[in-house]
Amino acid sequence: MSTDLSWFPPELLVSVFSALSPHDQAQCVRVSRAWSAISIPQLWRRITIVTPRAFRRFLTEEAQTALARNAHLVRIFMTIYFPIVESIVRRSPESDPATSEQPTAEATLNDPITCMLTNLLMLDLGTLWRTPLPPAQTPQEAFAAYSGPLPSPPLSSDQEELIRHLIQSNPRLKCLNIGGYIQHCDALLGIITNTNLPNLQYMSLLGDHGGMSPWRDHEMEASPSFEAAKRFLENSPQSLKSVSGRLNASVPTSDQLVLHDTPEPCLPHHSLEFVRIYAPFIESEQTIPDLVQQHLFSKFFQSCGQNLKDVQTPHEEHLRIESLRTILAKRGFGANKVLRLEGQEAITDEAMALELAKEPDWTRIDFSTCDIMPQGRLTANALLERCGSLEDLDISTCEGVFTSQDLAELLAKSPKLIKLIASLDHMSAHGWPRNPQLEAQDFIWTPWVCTSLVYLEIQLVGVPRPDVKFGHDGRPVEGGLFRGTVEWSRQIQRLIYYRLAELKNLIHLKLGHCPLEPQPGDQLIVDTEGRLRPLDDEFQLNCLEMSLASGLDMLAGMTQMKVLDLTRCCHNVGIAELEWMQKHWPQLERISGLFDDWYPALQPGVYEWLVENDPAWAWEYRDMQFSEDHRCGGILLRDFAPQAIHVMVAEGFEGVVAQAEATGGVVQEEGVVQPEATEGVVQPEEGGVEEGGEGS
Amino acid sequence: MPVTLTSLDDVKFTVDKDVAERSILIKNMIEDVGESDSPIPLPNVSSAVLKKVIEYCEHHRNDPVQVQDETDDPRKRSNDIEEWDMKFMAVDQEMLFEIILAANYLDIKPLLDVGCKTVANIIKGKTPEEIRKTFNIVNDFTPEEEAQIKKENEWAEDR
Repeated sequence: MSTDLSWFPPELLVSVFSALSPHDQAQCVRVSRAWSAISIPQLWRRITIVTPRAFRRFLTEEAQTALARNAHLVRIFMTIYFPIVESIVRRSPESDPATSEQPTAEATLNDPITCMLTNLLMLDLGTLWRTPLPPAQTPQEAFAAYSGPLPSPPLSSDQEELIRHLIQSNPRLKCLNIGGYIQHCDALLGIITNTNLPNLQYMSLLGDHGGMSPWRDHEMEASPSFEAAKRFLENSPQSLKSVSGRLNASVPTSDQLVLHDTPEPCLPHHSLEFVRIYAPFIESEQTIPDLVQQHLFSKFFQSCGQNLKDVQTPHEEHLRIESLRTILAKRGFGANKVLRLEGQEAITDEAMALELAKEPDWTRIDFSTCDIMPQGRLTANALLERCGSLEDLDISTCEGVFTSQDLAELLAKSPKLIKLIASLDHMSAHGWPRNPQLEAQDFIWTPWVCTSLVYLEIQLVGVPRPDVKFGHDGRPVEGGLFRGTVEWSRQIQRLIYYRLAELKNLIHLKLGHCPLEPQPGDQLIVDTEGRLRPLDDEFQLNCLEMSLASGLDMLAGMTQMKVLDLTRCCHNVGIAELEWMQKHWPQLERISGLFDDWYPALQPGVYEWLVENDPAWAWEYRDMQFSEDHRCGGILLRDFAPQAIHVMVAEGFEGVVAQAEATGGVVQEEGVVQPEATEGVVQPEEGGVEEGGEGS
Repeated sequence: MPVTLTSLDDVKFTVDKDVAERSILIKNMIEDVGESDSPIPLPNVSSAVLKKVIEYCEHHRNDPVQVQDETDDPRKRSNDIEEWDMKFMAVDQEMLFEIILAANYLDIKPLLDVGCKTVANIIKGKTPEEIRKTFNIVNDFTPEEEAQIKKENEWAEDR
């Protein structure tokens, strides 16, 4: 039946619209004048341009006119395309179209620049690109684009100037994320250092991904020098809660580095909770001189307060410097609750167990970067005795240390676990990773308690798959590799989905089987379309199908799902599955592993469907170069500690921003321990920019 | 101790005090007036709606009181509605809007939130024309205006 909504109070419609996605809000805008008036401020509050389609539509004359009209409404701005930045930060029109003379570079830089957006709270420039790839017309073209060209050249200094201008025009910024091919990172960081950003809480110079990636040119990525980083850290806004960035690979020797410490004390940073500083390109044997580390970090860490929860710096052995350790301990930072071991030298089972025994209640353990000698049970037993307090655990590459039963026990004994990574799938210094595996039989019958899991990467194996007709050696196996019927297999799979469905908070899920050792030259024939595929890692032998026929629809309750990695689970994922995921997981931002440059999708029609529909979560297949680490709402979930994830999940990033607006820019985070009467945690008062009044 | 509420059509409902006090309006009234046996008149709410609202309050009588009014995330996702609430909200549209208005008037924030989310779920995935049809809204745009506004905001659309 129909109801007349015209009498519905507008303030209630605001609540209704605010619960809608941008797509649905864009529909409401077109319904009627009254609806338009209410929904436009909501729609323009957040601009996210990360797909080629959105790119094209945002640069139309109509959208640009609307932008000029609505610029004052924008609070969140997120893009990966440079022309979008150019469209909002422009050279002033008087830059002489009359004089035909070529302006000198200097004259260009002296032109006044205007910025349309001045009310931003969140600026996310992800990994900046100059232009998206042209839209593909045919599936063949689209596929050609998937294995596309190398990244665009670095931004010119002129373009960087526009970025600087964008930052300087937005003094209310709370969240700032910039990455990609910025040449003059020191200069940019200098600008950020010198710009008064009294509300800045989240700052990342990492760009789209925090870790290593095999095909990016790291040389060109944003990475400030030690000196610039030091200046920034010591002068960063006191409001800062989380800072992450990557340092330049060139480590200054203590001779090169002029150790002129300014006599003034560093600004206090009592709000800081998370510090991540990566220097991934420093060879591990290349040690950073103690003096340099101390010079870089000590003053900064001395400025931190009780709220500091997690610290990662290049080569955690800086913690071996006694003075830093003391500083951190004094600040109440529980460095001893976080265990992360790095280094090439193998650690024995005994040594690791002893290491674990030092602390009864670890909150975070990262095994992924060290070798454990896989003999004995000491490490696994020690961990299982202490997993009740664990929030964040990385045991990828630890095959042989943790058995399938260990994993199941872990899931049954770690009620606080928020992030579990047990599956690394790119080549490391040690070759292909050997990850622990969770057998379906252990998974089904173990009750698990870790329903707070938000981020789960685990290798689920042992699902009988009679539909798979080839063996580990890539050769077809007559009658299939597994006994039993498909129906029986799917009954088992349904039990697995049933258990998985308990994880209602999941944002990131990956279940694929680990890579097999690739054997160059081997090929195998796949039954669905007769496509030839190389023998290697992209093939599932005994994991979930993730198909509707196997019970995928039981996961409809995972409404928070943002990132799904289907690597090696994509065999039976077709259009129906993708449509289902799109419908039931409205937060979906990314589906990985459907196919990549090398491996085409298996189910017929998948590319065509993607090309035709171009869903936002499939952006990586359009511009393949973007497929990097796990991007979540413009924020790299993986880069954040579980506490940070917790805060973000609890508040929602938008919540933080909305809060900032509600309180006129002053944000008291809730759910975050305010230091008990810590000396003057002054949240700087906001200048009181009135909303909405300054429409042009 | 029970409280008596009187609806617009003069029907009396007797409920426990803690149930009635899910409504901030009633809570404040009781605090202002003090303990009293006289019924509380609710002249904006019909008995059919009030019955529904009381059903909701009884089911949620033990929920912790929402403290963070200001700081609450207004962009709550429309899909995170509890199963019971979802069933509770499975009513015809007129009743749905009546409940929302009553929740607004009686100041029952969680019910208001659930109501707004339910309406959002109805809107979700619909085209403008379908939305108009659903809610009986007259399109007061000229075709040119509508085309213009579509182009202006199309960047936000998924399809």
